Amino acid sequence: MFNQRRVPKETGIFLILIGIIIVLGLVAPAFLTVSNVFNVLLNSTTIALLALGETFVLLTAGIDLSVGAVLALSGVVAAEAFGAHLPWEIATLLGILSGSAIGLFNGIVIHFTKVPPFIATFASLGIASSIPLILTSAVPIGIQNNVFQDIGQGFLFGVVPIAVLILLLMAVILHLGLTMSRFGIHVYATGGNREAARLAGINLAKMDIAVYTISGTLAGLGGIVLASRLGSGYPTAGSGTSLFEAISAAVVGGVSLFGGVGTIPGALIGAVIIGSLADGMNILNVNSYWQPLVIGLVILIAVTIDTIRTSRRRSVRITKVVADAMKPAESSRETMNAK
Amino acid sequence: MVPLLEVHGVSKVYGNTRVLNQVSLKVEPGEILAVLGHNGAGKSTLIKLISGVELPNEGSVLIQGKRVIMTSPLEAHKLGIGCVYQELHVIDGLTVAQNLFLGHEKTKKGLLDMQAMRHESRTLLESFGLSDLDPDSLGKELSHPQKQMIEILAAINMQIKVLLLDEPTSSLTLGEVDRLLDLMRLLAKKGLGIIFITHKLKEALAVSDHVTVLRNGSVVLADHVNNVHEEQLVEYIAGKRLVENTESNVSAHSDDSSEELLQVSHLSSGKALDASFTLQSGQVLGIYGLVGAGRTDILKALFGLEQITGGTITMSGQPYVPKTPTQALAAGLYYLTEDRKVDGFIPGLSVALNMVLPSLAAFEQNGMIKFRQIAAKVETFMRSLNIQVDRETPMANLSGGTQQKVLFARALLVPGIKILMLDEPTKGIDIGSKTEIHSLIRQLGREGYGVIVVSSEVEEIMAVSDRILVMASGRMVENYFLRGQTEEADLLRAALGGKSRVQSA
Ligand SMILES: Nc1ncnc2c1ncn2[C@@H]1O[C@H](COP(=O)(O)OP(=O)(O)OP(=O)(O)O)[C@@H](O)[C@H]1O
Ligand SMILES: [Mg+2]
Repeated sequence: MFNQRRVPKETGIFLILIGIIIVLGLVAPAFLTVSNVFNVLLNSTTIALLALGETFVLLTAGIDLSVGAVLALSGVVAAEAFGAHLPWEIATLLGILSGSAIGLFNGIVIHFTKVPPFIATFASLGIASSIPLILTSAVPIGIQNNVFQDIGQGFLFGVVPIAVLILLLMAVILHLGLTMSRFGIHVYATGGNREAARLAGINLAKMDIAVYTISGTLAGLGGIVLASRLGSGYPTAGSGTSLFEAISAAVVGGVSLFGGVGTIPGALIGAVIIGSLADGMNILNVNSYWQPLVIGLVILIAVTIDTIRTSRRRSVRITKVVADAMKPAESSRETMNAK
Repeated sequence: MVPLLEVHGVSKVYGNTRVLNQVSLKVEPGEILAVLGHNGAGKSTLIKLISGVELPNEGSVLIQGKRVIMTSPLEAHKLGIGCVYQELHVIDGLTVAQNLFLGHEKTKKGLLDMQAMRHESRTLLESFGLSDLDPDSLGKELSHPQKQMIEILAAINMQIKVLLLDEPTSSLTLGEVDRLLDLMRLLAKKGLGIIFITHKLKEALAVSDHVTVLRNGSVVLADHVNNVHEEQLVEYIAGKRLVENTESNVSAHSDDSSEELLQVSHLSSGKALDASFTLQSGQVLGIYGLVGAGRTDILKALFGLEQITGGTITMSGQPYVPKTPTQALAAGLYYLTEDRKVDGFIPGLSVALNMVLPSLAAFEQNGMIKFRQIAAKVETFMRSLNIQVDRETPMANLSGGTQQKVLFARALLVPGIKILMLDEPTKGIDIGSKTEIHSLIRQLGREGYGVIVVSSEVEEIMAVSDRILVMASGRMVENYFLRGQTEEADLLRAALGGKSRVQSA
């Protein structure tokens, strides 16, 4: 939409993903089976949902640190709702809405108190991770419901995980929203130049509240998928590296931490890259102590390659000019003669 | 003598467009070279090639006879080339002395030697006639022109030999311009070579030794300043003889159909005190005054950007209390700001999206944006305003003047706008486009818009306004009604003297 006539910005990172898949497929033939591919996607779903939501926040030059904690909150809220004998639709909805509520809270605090997003969402990280512990006294609550179980464990036609379908559906909706709607363009404008956006009549309060609520809602959905896969509401789910994996996924996928740059397909590809690496290393029996190190390095390399790729035209020019300079310049000889 | 700087047949290509074509120039020690040209002629690009921001696709740059390749501004700095950009980089939290020594601080036993830096700063400031500046005042306490001077001196302090100035005077008032030109003369006398870009020919003629005119990326004139005169320069810059604005001096609107759009009484806000005026539809109201006279504060207050501390506003007879820009836009007001880089456009978005940003709702059907309709509309406006770029180009890649034209188009695209407030509408605009924009403003008046133009240029105010208000130190001091019956000298005197002879509107 923004550059209809040019190569999509995600091309580079997509090629990197293909490269990783080929390498993993060669060293571990089990990696490239249909069922494993879906397995990778399924394992990436939670992080991908967080990354999609985080993308909206990052595009406005904000950051949302609370998404990992929302995973636990949403799962536990749903589990408690099942405990109160509410139907699965209501329980699921309550779980998701608990995430929206945290997001709404973030947006309101950030916009109206002007507390920097990093601090405000760090505070709500604390809130969102305490509530499930308080509610459950740190004991996981089992969920026995067949429909709910299918969200994370069910398959369509026996091969396509339902959670992956949910993820793709969300990605399509969010992508269209970001590229085809007024709201989407306003998101890019707000991140690109906040003051200019305000003067162009964009309601910044609405934008701040909306993007954090979107982020919280998707984290809530991620929590539901996770709780369904685990069959219970885990009060400590997502307390590990989920948050950083989600932000890294978005950044690997080309979303700028400075706002205004990035896409949903990019963030999705980023999440799958991180998911493939984790899966590939499990298949290859890489020692689990080593896995974060490898993922860290690959993230660094992927982002570096992409950065270099986008500024390559400049470096090509540099080499050409340097080569030119090796030839003696006529004019400098002239001036020397003049001396 | 070996020239300080020599540029030899450089060209620059972006994508498919050749922005600079075989440009050559040279600067001798102690020489000031003015580079002139229309918007998008390639002046800033040329500066980028000389200051290490971009590399030329062909041609070479020689410093004191030696060919150099600069791949970063830092390298250029080390080779003795300093550049002061329009966006200033004085650091707010550091003192004047610290800013002057940024990156090459003086130390004693590993610790900062503030004493020495302060002392040297004072000497430096004094030697350039800036002894009124305290080395200890913070960057944020400085005015825009003061920051600019500090930035120039900081460059000098790094022992540069060539100083590049890209439109340094566009945000300065008359007195400040003179001061800057004096500083440039002084620097040249000390042996520096200076390249000076400006759209104001009088400045160029007053200060420079040589002039080079670029048109569409090629040098079309390079001569000693004594061999050129103003009309000739205009012709070279615009590529044609410009027709003087011979429009009759009668008021633009026909009185019977005009209605009162805006009535402002005793408005106080920011620096503006007790301002009263009215605006009719079809009228162009000029507000003249020096920078800092409180003109922008009035516009900001009307657009909901500045707290109103007193007075009332009615719009088309209804009380109007602006709170936010969104509300002001909905009420039919548009504000084109003075500082387009700071709060005008979104650098990473395309020309098309920047142009339609406030009017996106008009291109929406069932929640989806109709990009085809945007494209059609944008193309129409680009043609009528003579904007010659691809509509998908990011706004950041446009020349300064073209950016301004895009923002102009943006204002005209917003549906329901009745009042246009234009703050320094031709800042950074070349002389050719300037007359175009002036006629455009007149035409907007004829089409029934109420237009408020704030400008520090007397000629501009005289050229566009039906009525002129003069402001000085926050107050309205003069109120002239008839277009064509005012003398430039009157306006200047009123703006400088600030005499209080307010006639009621
Ligand atoms: N990074 C870029 N990519 C593509 N085109 C560019 C880029 N930078 C500049 N241009 C184009 O190069 C041309 C020359 O721009 P430049 O900024 O040098 O003009 P200028 O003479 O400084 O104009 P002004 O007086 O308006 O400042 C313009 O048409 C501009 O759109
Ligand atoms: Mg320029």
